[in-house]
Amino acid sequence: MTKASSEGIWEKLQSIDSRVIYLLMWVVVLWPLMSPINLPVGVGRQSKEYFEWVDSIPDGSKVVFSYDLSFAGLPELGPMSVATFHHLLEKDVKIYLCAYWNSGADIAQDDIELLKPEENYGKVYGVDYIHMGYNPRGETGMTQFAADVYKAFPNDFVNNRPLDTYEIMEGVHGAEDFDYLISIESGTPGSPEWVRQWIEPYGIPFSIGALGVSVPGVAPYYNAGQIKSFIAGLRSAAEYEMLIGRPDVAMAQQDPLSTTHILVIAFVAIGNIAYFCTRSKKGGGS
Amino acid sequence: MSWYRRIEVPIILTAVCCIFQLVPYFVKVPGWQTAAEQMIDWDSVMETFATFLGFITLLMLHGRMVSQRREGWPFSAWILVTMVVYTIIGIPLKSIGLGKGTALFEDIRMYVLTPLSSAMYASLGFWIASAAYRAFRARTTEAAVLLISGTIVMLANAPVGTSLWGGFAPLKDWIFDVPNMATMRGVVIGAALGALALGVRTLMGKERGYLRGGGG
Repeated sequence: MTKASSEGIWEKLQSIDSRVIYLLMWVVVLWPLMSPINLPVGVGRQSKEYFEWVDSIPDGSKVVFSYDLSFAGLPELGPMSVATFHHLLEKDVKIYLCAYWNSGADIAQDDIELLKPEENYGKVYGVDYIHMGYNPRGETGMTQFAADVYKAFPNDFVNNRPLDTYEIMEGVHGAEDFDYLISIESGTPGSPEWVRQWIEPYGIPFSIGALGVSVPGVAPYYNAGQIKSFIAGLRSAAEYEMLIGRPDVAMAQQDPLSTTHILVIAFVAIGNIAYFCTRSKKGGGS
Repeated sequence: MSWYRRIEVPIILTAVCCIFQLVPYFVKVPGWQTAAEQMIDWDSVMETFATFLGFITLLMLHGRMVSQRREGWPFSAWILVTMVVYTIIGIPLKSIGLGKGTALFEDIRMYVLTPLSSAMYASLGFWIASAAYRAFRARTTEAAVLLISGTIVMLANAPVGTSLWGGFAPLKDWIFDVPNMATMRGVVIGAALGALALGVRTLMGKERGYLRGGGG
């Protein structure tokens, strides 16, 4: 009787109802948001490299900052794009915003409205930075941008004025006129396409911000030096916010990140313990 | 059969277009470069037409689903409504409050599209929690290795893990730099070789999957 009931417990622990897991996930997400634990966040190697890379961009450089992200990826990538844009605005560089995902242009516009470059950084639209808009043609559009920026982005996004009427565009024709490239990206088109059309043919230094799940795919390009540095996932975004001295949304989400990870690990451990207990009992009985 | 309906015509067109784009990638020939750029402009025009064609195809497909009351037809009806309404809202007629940048368009984007898209992605977190619990079982040595490396990466990604033990971060870096990098490099090189083989077959007219549904 005791043996049967104990076997029942282990079997039950191997098949906990999904709804119980979902409910507990809700609890561990909401609880730290309502009463933060404020666990310390250490800075990792990758975030430090990305910070140093952006920080070392020399004055007067022309930086393409591409918003290749979707609304769906916004919770994870949004803090990175805001932090990177802030970091660039603090420097004396020319910023060329563009997008190869349809939602990217709107997100870039939201970042402009959030950071207010004129009020907070003393920058002038069309002189220090410009929003070139969205190019819907993916990799072909990147090739087009490399060959002739005015064909890829005929008018700017903010005023719908011809791009060549802005001061910032003086002496700019194609990829060879830009010095750096940064892409915050959700998927395809993203870094492999930029590497094929911009990095290999023109040798432009390139860094990215990516989703946490994209990390394995970034590895070969990073190791080959085609991607100089990268941040991936909410943890890296929080570390980068710390490094630029502007803790924001990503930092606020670090506690739920911890609690949810712990919950997943706890469930994986429960499942495995139950599995081994059931197996050993079955093995012992036979 | 008319000459323009012959299978050789699209094969020759594909081969010519491929060569036009391939050569300037490796060799700088001024005239050729201009021609290649011109072809990219053609491609842009064609893609714009393809978007319009996609819109019409979706209308026809879901219109048929609704008219024949097939299973799940209310979802098709909802797609048609949202597609048509948002298209109308997006027509650039600012004088009557339509088009990008107007309050109506931007509010739908900000308060409907953005939260719905984010919620879709965020719901993955719940699925992953449930799936990890069910699938992450150390049944074999390989599964045990996956389980241990996955747990280390999770602990290194969460502040609680690195607060408990600082060694999780270097361990995660090693997993990223060595086994993951080696595997992904193999995958990327394999995929590139596959794409190269496909490209050569297409150029030679041996790959016909993109023509007439694969027919010859």
